[in-house]
Amino acid sequence: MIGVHGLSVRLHGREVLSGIDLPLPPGTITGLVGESGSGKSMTALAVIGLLPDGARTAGAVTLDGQNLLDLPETTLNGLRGRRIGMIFQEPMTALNPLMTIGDQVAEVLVRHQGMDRAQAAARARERLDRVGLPLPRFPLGLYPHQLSGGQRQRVAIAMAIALAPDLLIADEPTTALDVTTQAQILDLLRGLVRDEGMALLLITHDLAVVAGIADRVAVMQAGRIVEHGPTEALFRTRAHPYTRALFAAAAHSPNPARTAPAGTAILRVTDAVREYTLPRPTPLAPHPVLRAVDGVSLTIADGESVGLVGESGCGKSTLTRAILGLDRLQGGRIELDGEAVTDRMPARLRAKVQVVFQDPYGSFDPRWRVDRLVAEPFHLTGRPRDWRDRVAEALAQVGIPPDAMRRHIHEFSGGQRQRIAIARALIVRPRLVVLDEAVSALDVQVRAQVLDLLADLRRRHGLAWLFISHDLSVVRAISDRVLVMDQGRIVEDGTTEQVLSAPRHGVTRRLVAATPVIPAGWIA
Amino acid sequence: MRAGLVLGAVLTSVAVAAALLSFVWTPFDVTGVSIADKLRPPSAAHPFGTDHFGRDMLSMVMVGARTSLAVALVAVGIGVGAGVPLGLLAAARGGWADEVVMRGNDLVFAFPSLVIAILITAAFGPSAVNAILAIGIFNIPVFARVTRAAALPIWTLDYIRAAQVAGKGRARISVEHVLPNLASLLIVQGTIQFSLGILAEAGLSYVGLGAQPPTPSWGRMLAEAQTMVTLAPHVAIVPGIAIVLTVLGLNLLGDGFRDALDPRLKARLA
Repeated sequence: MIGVHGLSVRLHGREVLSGIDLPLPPGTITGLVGESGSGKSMTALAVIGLLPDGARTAGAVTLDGQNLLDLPETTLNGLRGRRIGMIFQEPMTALNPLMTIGDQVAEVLVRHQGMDRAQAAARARERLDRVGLPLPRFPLGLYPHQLSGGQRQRVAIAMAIALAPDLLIADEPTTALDVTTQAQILDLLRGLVRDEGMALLLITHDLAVVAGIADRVAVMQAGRIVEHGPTEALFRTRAHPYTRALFAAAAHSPNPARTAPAGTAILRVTDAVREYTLPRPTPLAPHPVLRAVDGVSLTIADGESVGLVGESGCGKSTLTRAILGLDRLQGGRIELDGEAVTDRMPARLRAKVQVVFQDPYGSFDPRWRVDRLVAEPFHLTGRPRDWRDRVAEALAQVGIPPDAMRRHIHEFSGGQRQRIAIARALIVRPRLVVLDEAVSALDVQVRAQVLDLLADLRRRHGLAWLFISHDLSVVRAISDRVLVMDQGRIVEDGTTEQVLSAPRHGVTRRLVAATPVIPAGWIA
Repeated sequence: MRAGLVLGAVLTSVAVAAALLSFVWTPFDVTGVSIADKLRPPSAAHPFGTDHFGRDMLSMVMVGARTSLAVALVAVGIGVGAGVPLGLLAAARGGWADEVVMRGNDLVFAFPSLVIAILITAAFGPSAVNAILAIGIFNIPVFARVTRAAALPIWTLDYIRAAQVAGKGRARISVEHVLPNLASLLIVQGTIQFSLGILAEAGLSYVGLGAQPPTPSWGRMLAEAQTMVTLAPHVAIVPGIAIVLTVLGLNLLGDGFRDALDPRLKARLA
């Protein structure tokens, strides 16, 4: 049995964790929730003994009565993987791309239990079967690049549970996955805890995920556990003000801007087709063709807010690139305000559509200052003489103080960066803004603020939004109409209420069913 | 971190200052032969001693710095000037442009650089200018390759997409976004190539294909010293140490510059 008792961690003289008490009994799932920077991951790293250099600890992490914090590195190496396993958020980088999945799982067994190769391979096979990667579809000889994100996360789980550890730590294991894959991975984790009797520490910012899976919940704020108890009781009482604030943010729905959309269409897509040729499977075979967008037609009216949802790989990103005029279509046409969108459209037309991307860290050139970053779209319209005032005004609209203009982007948090991205999208006053998973990477509280901001901006400027997401709760909060995409086609189109409460198509039903929700009675 | 930058700057400035000073003043005339004073060990009059013609080694090293630094600088300039645009083009356009540039690179890489340098100097006669050309040509694929390899992942980032949505073309994005984000890498590669250039010039001069007598160069000083190493070790040690310290200084300076120029690292160091 593993437990954390009065754990404090100081890093460069600053206390990052103080007085953490967290029992992790076998066979139970403990959810650890809180915003970024609250110390969730630091707690996990302390438990597994991977704190950054220069960290000073007090208190104890006990395993069979032994304090792990006192053990030398070599002893800890023996425990890591064997007694404590860990899986991470990003399945794309958690596996070694040059090793087969069978070898990666077997390596753990050979290293810790001194099994011979054949034994280890047999056991790896059995573990991969257990995480839902059975033969003949998933032989041991596959490489990570041949698997999807969800499948890779399953391999990472198989590695973590290969030695039946006492404790499995899962740090945001489903944040990078779409909702249907998330539901499957959570099912798998729940089954593993039940069957193998291990303890699971699940770190997440998503309260609905915790509600569906955890037996106990601990809420963290600024390095402390402010509330801890059985999930349902904690969700019902919400004794601590911070817990209440988190719940309010998660349930937040911005004031709807139900402006009646004008009759004119700002965007009209007709029978759009985008194909990719894939490498030949054998030297003389013809190139197989992947039809990422397969005859899509859709219309967005001036001032309308439309959500586009679908699982990963359904073609929504490809469609987005075509709408932004970054990719050429093989068939059909896209019209923006009545004129054809192509990869060579004139600047005047291009200025009518702007975009906000998902990743607040990758969307800005790290070497540019904020004023220049926000002013970049002026390239389309010519930079007005008062461009600095315009930038200051756009930043003020998204709640960023004007002194930000001379700073670099790394000085801002994820939420602030996303606000700056919105300012950049609005600086040339476009008619349509494409939001590509624009709030997925944000904490619930920041997300609520950004959603409010978007609703407010739309009310003021009469913009049309195309909101692309796999998260139905976000789409529900902000869009008038929802399109559901699957395998390159639009399979359902209707008002948000209608599509989400009475889904007709199988894919929509799957998406709705897979979206984690907090049971209605708990937060009444 | 900071100490490396300071030490690198000091070593490099000493070499550059010595080279510049030699244009207006040297302790002795480097062409002044004085057989009576040959192979004197370091003394108050000749701090680095004298060579086998009795020339002052300190003056020789100062004038030699001129040759070595100029050859290396121009050679790096040729490499950066041609290689970086080629690498940016290959990464930005892909397809056939990429193929042409990279296969051209392979072609140059396929020949041992020193052999080609010897070929060039053999065909056009040994001189400092031909040494510069030979070394410079071999810097081109190095910079093209480094630039392309570093530019490709940058092209997949969202800020490039944002610039495209802002209507910017590939050439403009290459200059405004890709190049600045490569700068730190190119500075490091530049200082490495600069040091290699000094060594290559020394090598070419050593075999008699670089700077011609009576122009002193560090490589030729080494070459002439080899028969006298046992007799008067300082004749070989002095130019050797000059090369080592200058190369070391340049590498430290490059590392320091890379850290100082990156806004993210700057925040961490402050």
